[in-house]
Order: sequence, then structure tokens, then C-alpha cells
Amino acid sequence: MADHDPALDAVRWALGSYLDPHDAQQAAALWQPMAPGQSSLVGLSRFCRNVAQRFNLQGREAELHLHIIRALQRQKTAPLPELGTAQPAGPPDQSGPVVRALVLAMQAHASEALGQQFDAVAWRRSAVRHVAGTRLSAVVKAQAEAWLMWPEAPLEGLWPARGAGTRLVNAAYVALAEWLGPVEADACLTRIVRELERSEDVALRAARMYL
Amino acid sequence: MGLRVRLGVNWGVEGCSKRRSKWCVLAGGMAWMGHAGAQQAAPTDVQHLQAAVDMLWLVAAGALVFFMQAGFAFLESGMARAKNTGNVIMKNYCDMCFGAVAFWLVGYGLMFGSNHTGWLGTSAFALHGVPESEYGPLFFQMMFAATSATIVSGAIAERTRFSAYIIGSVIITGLIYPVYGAWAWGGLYGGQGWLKQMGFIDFAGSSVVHAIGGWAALAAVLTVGPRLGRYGPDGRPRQILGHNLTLVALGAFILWIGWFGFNAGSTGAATVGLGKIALNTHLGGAAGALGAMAAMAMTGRRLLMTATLNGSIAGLVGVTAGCHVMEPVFALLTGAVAGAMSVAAADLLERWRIDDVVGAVSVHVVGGVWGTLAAGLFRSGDLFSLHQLGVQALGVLAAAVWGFGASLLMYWLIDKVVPMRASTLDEQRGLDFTEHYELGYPEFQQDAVHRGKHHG
Repeated sequence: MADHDPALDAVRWALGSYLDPHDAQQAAALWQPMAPGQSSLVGLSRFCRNVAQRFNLQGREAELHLHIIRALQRQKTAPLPELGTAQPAGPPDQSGPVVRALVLAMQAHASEALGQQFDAVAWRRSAVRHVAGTRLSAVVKAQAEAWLMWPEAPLEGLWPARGAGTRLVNAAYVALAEWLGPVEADACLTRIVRELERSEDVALRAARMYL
Repeated sequence: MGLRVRLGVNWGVEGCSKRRSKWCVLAGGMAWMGHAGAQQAAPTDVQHLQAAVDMLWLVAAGALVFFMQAGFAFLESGMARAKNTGNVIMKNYCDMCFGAVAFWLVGYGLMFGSNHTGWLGTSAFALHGVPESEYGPLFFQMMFAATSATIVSGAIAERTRFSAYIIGSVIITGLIYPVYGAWAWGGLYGGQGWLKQMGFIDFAGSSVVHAIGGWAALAAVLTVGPRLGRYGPDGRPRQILGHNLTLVALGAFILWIGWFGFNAGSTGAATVGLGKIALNTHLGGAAGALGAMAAMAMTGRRLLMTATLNGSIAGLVGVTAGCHVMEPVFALLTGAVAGAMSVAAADLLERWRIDDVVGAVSVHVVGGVWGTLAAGLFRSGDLFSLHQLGVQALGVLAAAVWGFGASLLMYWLIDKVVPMRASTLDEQRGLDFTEHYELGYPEFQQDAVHRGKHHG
């Protein structure tokens, strides 16, 4: 039955990018099949930490986590490609870094404002909760949620202004308003955008477009 | 003098046979100018002059009541954040524009049309082609209807969709306000509202205008919920300060001035009783502020300007029901109690996590309920009458059940069709930008938390 678990297929496929076939097989065996009706994402973070410790992938947990999420998403629309198949490279998308910079700056401001009271995990959960309430597609939501839980990783995917990017920034703003109050949140976001507009990184200067 | 001749038609208004009071002279004027003119003696020059002066006062008072919209607009926009000021002003402005049409078309007929069942008027819809004297009351009452509707706007400022709000405002002006009005004041064209038949006293609308508007505001607040971040993750309330207290104060001054038209204009005639009504109105407002300050001082708090102004408005609301029948000392007492209660009520709402931006519920519901009861308690010549108090309490209860119940149902239905609540993105950007694509303060709002007009 486990062999037909689509989540396991996605895990195997994702692990194939990091480990040789033998290790990948052993690592995949650590995956706990989910109970019927339970989300594949349950326990994924624990699984990634476990694999990283055993197979010398420390520091790449977030990346692996994201890779598995993307495999799970791709699986819903098409069969997973053979390992080693290169994906066509498009022009580099700049939306991810801008949105990432905005959201992380909001987190940093919240941390600075709250000091000892700031709880990074609770903050991320709060942002994830607000992402869940947005009108983003399930796939994009899952991508955002996965990244918010591992914000050290790059924010992959397309996050256009007036679209998913704006909505993700807004979800973080809602969390900020909840944590600091709306007046402080407005002041923070205004300051962040001004700082990014003066950034040396040209891509980040477009931050206002994401409001 | 010739008053009784002029009052050839029984308009069923309290005190009509004894003195010229609410709508008496006006109704009489309507009689000899139009309806019953053929059956009565030709009016003398003095009567003509009197009717003209009455109408002049009614129209001037109506204009003063109209000016109250500016007061509401200033007060509410000052209490809102800078990014939502234009939206608040638009709501107040459009209350009048949409409300005028709705009240002319439907509301006035439901409220003042022929009311033989005691429940609802059935004539005078879309009034036209009638004797000129009949337009004055419509004009005056139109301003009242818009006042009732606009009470909601401040309570749900900063997070409500404009379209949903306007639909609600039209229904309040065209249906919710007039129905209760028909019970308490109805029957200008024949018949009487059931509350009026029982001797219910609400001279200028502590219940009819203010409590109904306040109950609708409470229903709206419960439907849309609190503003983003108004309460922290632990449930503790956070203050969201208004952007301009000067505007708030100016708004309160304008409301107070307008209240002289509101209360004294409700005589419908230029009578000697105006002086007492104006004095009682003024004392009520002044005592309201004092009552609010006393309440703050006694609870060891600093004297907040906003709470003081709200106290004076609560005092004005309170004295509105009985300003024509109370002696000044009781007007003072009524206002002081209303002001103090507005402070206590605001605290209670805060504790219940009801986010009322301007304190509309604590001012208009609490002031309205207390004022209506006070009109029964402090009526000159019949002080502390339990019978009258019972009638007043029934009127208060009817206003609560109808005003709150109908509004809650209405907002629930509107919410199903057009979501009442603005999106979180709209709240972030501010409703000036998202609803109207205009900025209240472009000099410093251009760079705030939206992409700015120059980015399209």
C-alpha cells in the first residue's frame, strides 16, 4: 500500500536530487505514510530534519522541504519527470526576492519592536494562518506556507505584483498588524518600502509595486 | 388667536389644542392653504404672515439639521486614520444624497402617510403635485432620516465596503427608520402610530432618530467585526487614534449648532416655546460634557477630549426626547446622566471587543434610551409618572427590537450579496485609495502603505 502512496513517490523523487539511489531508498523508508484524509504536509518538517541528520544534509532541510512540496504539487497535474531531466530555464524572475525581502523585513521589525516577547515560530504560524485566508490557489498557498515555515530558503515560484506577491505581502502585513497594532504596522511597512526603494539591489527598488 | 380656526383638521398631535407645538401650526397651515381651504374662512394677512414665518423657521431649521451632516463628517473623519478620511466623508455625503431620494420615494409615505392601522403609513409616497405647504415637513424630515442613517457610518469606519454601506443606508432611510417613526410620530395624513396613541413622548427623536440609528450601528459593527489589529493576539484592546482631533472638535461644534435646528425645528412652527427648547437643548449638551468629565475624573482617568465631546453629544441626544416638556433643571440632569453613561458604555463595549470607531453606540443608543425614559420621568406637571415611564419603556423596547433586529437581518443579507467587510488588502492600503482612488492627504499619503497613484 505504501508503494502506491503518491506522497512517497514525491518524497523519493525529491530525495533523488540529493542522495544516491541507495541512500534515497533508505531515506524514503523513514517516511511515515499518512492516515487516510490527513495532509501530506503533516510531519514533513520532522521528516526533513530526520533525513538531514542521518544523511549529512544539515543546513539543507528547508531546501529539501520545499523540493518535496513542489514535487507534491507537480504530481497533481502531471507525472513527475525522470530524475536528472533538466527543466527549461526561463528568464530570472525577480518577484520572489522582492516579496521575500518585504516579508522578512516585516518579521525583523516585529522582532525588533517586541524584543524578548517575539516568538519567531508563533510569528510564522500567524503569517501562515493569514496566507490560508487569502484568495491564492492551493498550490501557491502551499508554496507560501512552506517558505514561511523555512524563511531561510529562497522563495521560489512566481510572486507577481497585484497577484500572489501582493497577497503574500498583505498576509504578512495582517500578521504584523495583529502583533504590533495597525498604526505601528503601517509605519513599519512604510519605512520598509522606503528603505527597499533606496536599496543597492535594483530589483528590490520595485517593492512599492507589491503593496 | 386664530390658531384654532387654522387647525381645522385634527392632526392628532400632542398639545395641539393647548398650544402650538410639533407640526400643529404647520398642519394647520396645510389645512387652510390646501386641503381644507375651501371649507374655511379666507385667511387673514396675519395668518398668511404666521404661516410664512412658520415655514421660514422650518426650512431654516431643516438647513441646520442638514449642516449636522457636516458635523458628523468632520467628527467621524477626524476619528479615523488619515488613509480612510475620504471614505468617511463620502459615506456621510452619500447618506444624504441616496437618503434624500429614498425618503422622498418611500420613507416619508411609510412614516407620515395615512396611518389607520397604527403600524405604517400608506400614502404620500414620492410626494408631488400637492399644496406647497406640504413640502416643508418633507424637507425637514428628510434631514432627520439622513441623520439616523449616518450614525452607522462612523461606527463601522475604516473596514467596510462602500457599496455595502450605501445599500444599508438606503434601507435604513427608506424602511427601518420610517417604520419606527410611523409608530411614534406617524399619521400626519390621518390616523396615528400605535406608540403615539399610547402617549409616547419623543419630541425630536431620542429614540426615533438616535436610538434607531445607534441600534443599526451596533448591528453593523457586529456584522463587520473589529478593524485589523484592534485587539491583540491576547485579546487586549489597542487604541487606534484618530488622525485629527481638531476636526473632531469642529464636528462636535457643528453638531451642537445643528441640534438647535433639530430640536427647536421640531415644533414645526415659530412659537414662543422655541426659547425653552433651545435652552434645554443647550443645557443638555453642556451637562453631557460635564457628566462625561465627572465620570472620567471619578474613575481616576485623564479628561479625554474625545470622550468629553461624545459626552456632550450624548447629552444632546438625551435631551432631544423631552426638551419641550422638561424644566431646565431636568434637562441639565438628563444631559449629565447621558454624558456619564456614554463613558461607562464605551468602556463596556471595549470590554466586549465591539469596535465602534466613534462611539456611536455609546452615544446614540445609550443617550437615546436614557433620554426617552427621562422624558417620561421629568415631564413638567407629571413628574415621575410610572404610567408614562411604562409607555416610554415600551417605546424604548420597540426601538431596540425593531432597530437592532431589522438592521441585523439587513446587514446579514447584505453581507451574503456584497461582503460588508473590506479585504485585508483594502484595509492595508486604506479605503480612500481602494474605494475612491483619491487620497485625503496626498502630500503624506502618497508614500504610505499602498502602491501610490503614480503606479496606477
